[in-house]
Amino acid sequence: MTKSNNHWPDSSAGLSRRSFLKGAGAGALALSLGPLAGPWVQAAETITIGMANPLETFFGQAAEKALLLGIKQINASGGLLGKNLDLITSDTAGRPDQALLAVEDLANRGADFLTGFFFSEALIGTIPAIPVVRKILLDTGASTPVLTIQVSKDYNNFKFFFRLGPVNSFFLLQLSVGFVRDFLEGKLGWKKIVLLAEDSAWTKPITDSFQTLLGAFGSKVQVVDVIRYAESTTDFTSLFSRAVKAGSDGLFTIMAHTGTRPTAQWAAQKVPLPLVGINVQAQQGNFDQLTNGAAESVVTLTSAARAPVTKKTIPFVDDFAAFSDVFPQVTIPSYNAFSSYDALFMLKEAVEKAGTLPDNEANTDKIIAELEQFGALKDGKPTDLFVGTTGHLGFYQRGEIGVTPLMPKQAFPHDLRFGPGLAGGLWIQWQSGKQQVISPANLKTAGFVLPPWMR
Amino acid sequence: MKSLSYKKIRRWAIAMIALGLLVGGMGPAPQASAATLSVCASGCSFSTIQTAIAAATPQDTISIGPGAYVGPIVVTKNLRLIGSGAKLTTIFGGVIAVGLSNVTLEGVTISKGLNGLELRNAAVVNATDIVIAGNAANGVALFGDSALSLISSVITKNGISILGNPIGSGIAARNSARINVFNIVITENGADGISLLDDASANISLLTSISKNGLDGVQLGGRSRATIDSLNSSGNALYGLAIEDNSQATVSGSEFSSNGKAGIHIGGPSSTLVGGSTLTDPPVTATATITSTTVSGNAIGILIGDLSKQRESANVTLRSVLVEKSSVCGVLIDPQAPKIVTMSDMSFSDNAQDKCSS
Repeated sequence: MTKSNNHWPDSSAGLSRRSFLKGAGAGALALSLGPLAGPWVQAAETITIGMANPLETFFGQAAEKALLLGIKQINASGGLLGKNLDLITSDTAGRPDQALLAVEDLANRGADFLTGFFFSEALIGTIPAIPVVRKILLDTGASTPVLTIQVSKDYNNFKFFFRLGPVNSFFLLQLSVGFVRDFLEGKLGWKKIVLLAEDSAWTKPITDSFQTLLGAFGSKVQVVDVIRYAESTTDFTSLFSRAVKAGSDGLFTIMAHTGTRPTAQWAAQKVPLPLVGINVQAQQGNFDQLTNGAAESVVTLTSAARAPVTKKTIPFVDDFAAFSDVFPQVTIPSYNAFSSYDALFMLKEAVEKAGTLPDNEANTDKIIAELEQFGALKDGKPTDLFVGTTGHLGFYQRGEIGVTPLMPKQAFPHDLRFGPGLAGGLWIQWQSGKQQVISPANLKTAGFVLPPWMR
Repeated sequence: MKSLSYKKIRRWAIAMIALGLLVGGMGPAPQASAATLSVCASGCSFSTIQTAIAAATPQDTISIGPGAYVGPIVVTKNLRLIGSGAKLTTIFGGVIAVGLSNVTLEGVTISKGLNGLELRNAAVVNATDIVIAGNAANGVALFGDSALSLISSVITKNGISILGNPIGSGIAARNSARINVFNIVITENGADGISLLDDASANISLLTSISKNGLDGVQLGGRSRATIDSLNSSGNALYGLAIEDNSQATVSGSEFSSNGKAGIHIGGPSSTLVGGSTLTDPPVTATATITSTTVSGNAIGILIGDLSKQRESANVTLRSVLVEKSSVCGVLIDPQAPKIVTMSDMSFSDNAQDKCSS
């Protein structure tokens, strides 16, 4: 079987996911557990949010801090349906096998709702558990489209999954290509780029189609080399030399898990190419310290920053910085912190509209139906958008195809809508120790600068 | 390695259990008032295991006849579930022990569950002569403060691969779960043979064999702890034994051979937090004491540190350890983070290099 995003691979251990679901009957398996041990056991006094993330990372801590901040605010204003919210956490360690255990762990401990996930591989690891635990799961950090494709294929078992952010890998590609065309080519006059991508599940759709989509978007920029490197790479010297020899105007990064080391080496070696693109590690407030002062001029895409994306954005960023109950060293929200906070308040709104908690599958379905109303199409336009910190949020519907030219016949139900007027992200650049917004123009706080050794 | 007869092993293990030295709160012993409820396809009082469990009172025995039974079976009370032998009695869909249940499980095969055997909350399971094979995720998964004693059993071919991501270990324990395994074969599972995270702990002994698993033979992460004696861990894709994060292990009388990256790895991250991924907590230290052990035929015999990160420290004592036939290096110490390594009475043979530093 072809290894692609919309197909399941053959099992490497004698049992495929398909045969598991067919043989065991995942939904029946869960429902047959009965009221005592089944998935609907819940705490009576509080509503429990279960967060699964790599807890030891900045991104796990930022998400946890954002959720605790939101929970504190919600509880202070009367809670949800008269109950206080509580947070429990479980470590994915960034691994698919541990992510699956984390989902089970949170469900066993009485979580009413699940959220989190940073590594796409970890999110993929939850697939066998989702039909069994049957809890609403809001992805706030991983971009792989595999899960929403699963929703389209097997709605009854995967209807629980929604992505609050970031947009999926295909839309990240479209965002990136749009930035190359409009900013790097349009404003800076770049003609050639080298893609520098970590070899990870979420980057493959991006590197596979980058050049094709540039042409389709009317850009003349050439991708003169695609460098995919193992995440365990410790020495980037030869890769930088390769990029320089390719004769490009800059390095376009596609890295989430590994940005610190290559950035530090890029600056230490004074590589004569600007470092722009997706560099998730550069979202951290202490990125400059982590890279030994290498952050200057690094550009990354992020979901939001301290800019008036919506009326909620700047207050959240300021509240996050001031919130010292946990992780006081984490002062700038990462993209998944924005999304985690949005997930909590979107969930609150959906539960209040449904008027019920997910104490059985019928009531869970009522909440799912309310979540599906965010961004529901009316006369071909998304309506009832949720105003979050990252923008206006809504979900694609079942059977809605043609949303990306990269998979025109594929629906992505419960994936975050992408397009004009919707949440999509902004491009920030490190300048003199601060993150400045360089695009889009309406949120711009500074112009683009070159690396110090190229000025 | 010295060999023991099966009878001796079994006698020793059972004696240990009887003394209550292993898992806190052992399986329910049959009492004079306890009843035996029979389950079989036809001619018994019950045709399904779950209905027999519902009818049983604590300390009863459920006697399960030959055949295939559909689960998942959920056990919430103190019971003995006795099959007709792993070749004759199969439970499809898994067995889940919940709450304060105390369960004895013998003579069954468990297959086609999410997890084959799952322990939640403070459940205690004592299992003997069982086979756990072909479950979608883990062979055994332990959560909460649960405890498992597993004797003379086989755990194989659990886990799946989704888009190249291995999911599912032979035994996976997290939270504060405890496992004791004796004379077990754990082979060809998708991820690790045994995986411990958080504050989980394990005793692994008595000729247990862990081989050909998709990641590590035994992987310790978080603050987990293991005592390992007479283990043979071989042919696993990454490490025979990985002692990472803040975990601790005491190893003796064991052999680690032909593992993909190293026989034993001490002092790295258990997570996939690669490339300097922004850990904000203080440095951590893995601790290991390894004695009277053979490390043979691995790329690296013993790897101390992980060659890429600077925060992982290690405190290692090696005594009477034979390191041989390492194609890259016998003992490789990554100098990037503090390492305290004490070696005595070591033997090196036929390694590309006996000792190295990166």
